Amino acid sequence: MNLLVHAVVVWLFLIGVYGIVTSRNMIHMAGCIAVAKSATAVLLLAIGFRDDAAAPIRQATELARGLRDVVDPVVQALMLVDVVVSAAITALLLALAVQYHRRAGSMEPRPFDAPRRDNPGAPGLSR
Amino acid sequence: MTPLLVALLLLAAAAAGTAVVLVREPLHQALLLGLHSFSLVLLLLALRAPDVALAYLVVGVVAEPLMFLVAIANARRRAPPQ
Amino acid sequence: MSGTRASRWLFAASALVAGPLAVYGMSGLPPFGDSIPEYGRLIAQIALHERAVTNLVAAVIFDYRGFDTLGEQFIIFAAILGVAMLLRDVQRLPGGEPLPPSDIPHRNVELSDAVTAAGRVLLPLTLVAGIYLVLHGHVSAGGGMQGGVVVAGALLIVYVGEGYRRWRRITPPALLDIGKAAAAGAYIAIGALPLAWGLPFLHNVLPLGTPGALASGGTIAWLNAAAGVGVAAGFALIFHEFIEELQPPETGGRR
Repeated sequence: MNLLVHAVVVWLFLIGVYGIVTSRNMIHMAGCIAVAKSATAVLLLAIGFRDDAAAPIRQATELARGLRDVVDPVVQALMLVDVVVSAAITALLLALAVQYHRRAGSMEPRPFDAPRRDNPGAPGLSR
Repeated sequence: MTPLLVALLLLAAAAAGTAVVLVREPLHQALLLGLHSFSLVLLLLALRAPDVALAYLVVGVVAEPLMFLVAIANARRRAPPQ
Repeated sequence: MSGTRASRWLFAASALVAGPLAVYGMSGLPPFGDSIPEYGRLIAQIALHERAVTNLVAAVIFDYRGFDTLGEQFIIFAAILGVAMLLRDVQRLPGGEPLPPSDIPHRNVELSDAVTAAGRVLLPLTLVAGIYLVLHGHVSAGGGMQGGVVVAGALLIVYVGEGYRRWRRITPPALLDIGKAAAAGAYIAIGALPLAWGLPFLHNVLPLGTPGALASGGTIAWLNAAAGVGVAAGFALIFHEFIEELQPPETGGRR
């Protein structure tokens, strides 16, 4: 079980990096970055997990009756903030992709000084 | 029961992530990204993390594929500047 | 593109080394499901007593690690700035001044009646769900940030159902700008409140109330609301920036 968790985490991360390395489309690359990011979420939450424990939402009655076992709230807090932030960062990545498309004429990652795909005479990225 | 459930959901998340990377067409990838996020939501629920699961649900299934779709639409309509 | 073959081989080689090494390195962690880290255990023990909130994750985000959430608000801020700067194309009038975006003529897209009707049904439901999630973030599962994204999505339903012009009129970006800045400012103001008593920044100084009630947790509830409004306005702004780009003008030049 331990091995499966760690293997899945490493697999997700490496497949995300593989996607970044072999991607021929800027938007596709942004999606692969998102997959690589999800690997950290799985790892941290697996570290915080505990068998037969409840979610970290307490009932008010626990003050009187005694506290239950819960899973780790700190890693969940870290991951929650991370999810929202990574959405904003993905928006930024996609805006970069759109801007790249404007300047280079195609979504494919190409050398900086290459001529534009769709209109070879017009100024390209490096104008 | 729980270890089996977590193991299955881990494998599902890994498979969905692989699909996101291997599918090259951005439009299809946007929808698969929503599926990958959803599999992650189920995994997070099995790992007793309702807050994070909710965040992943609204962000990964709604907001992010939407931004992808809009970016793709942007790229398709964009003509080169004169 | 030349070099793709070489980069694939390089990646394969490094992945074959890095992958097993990473798994071996992680084997030093405690077994899955065994016990939770010390910090988490401590907070799980004391948070209900000390802060009178039932949602421990909200207590960590807005109280024990409240400073990190302040950073997160500003990361979203910076991301919106970046998206706006990257996507805004300046269309110039004949005299040379830039045209304000609302004046650029936009084509009226045909809207389906079914979509509009569905949108009108879904909008109040989604809005209420989002506001509920924000308000009850510190009491039950949910939170300001999740609720904020749901509210931003609800505003997007207006776009899908009513069309671009109405959406722009109902949720003007100027108002969203003010909302985002006000939320970030409110977060800082609530955090700066303790400084008047010589206490540290973001110390919890409001009355704590009873756990499980809506008015509990002191500053946690207010910081939660501020973060929720900030995230809602932030994501709505990002959607505005992206979709604004999508509208083809009657006259040429914007594209």
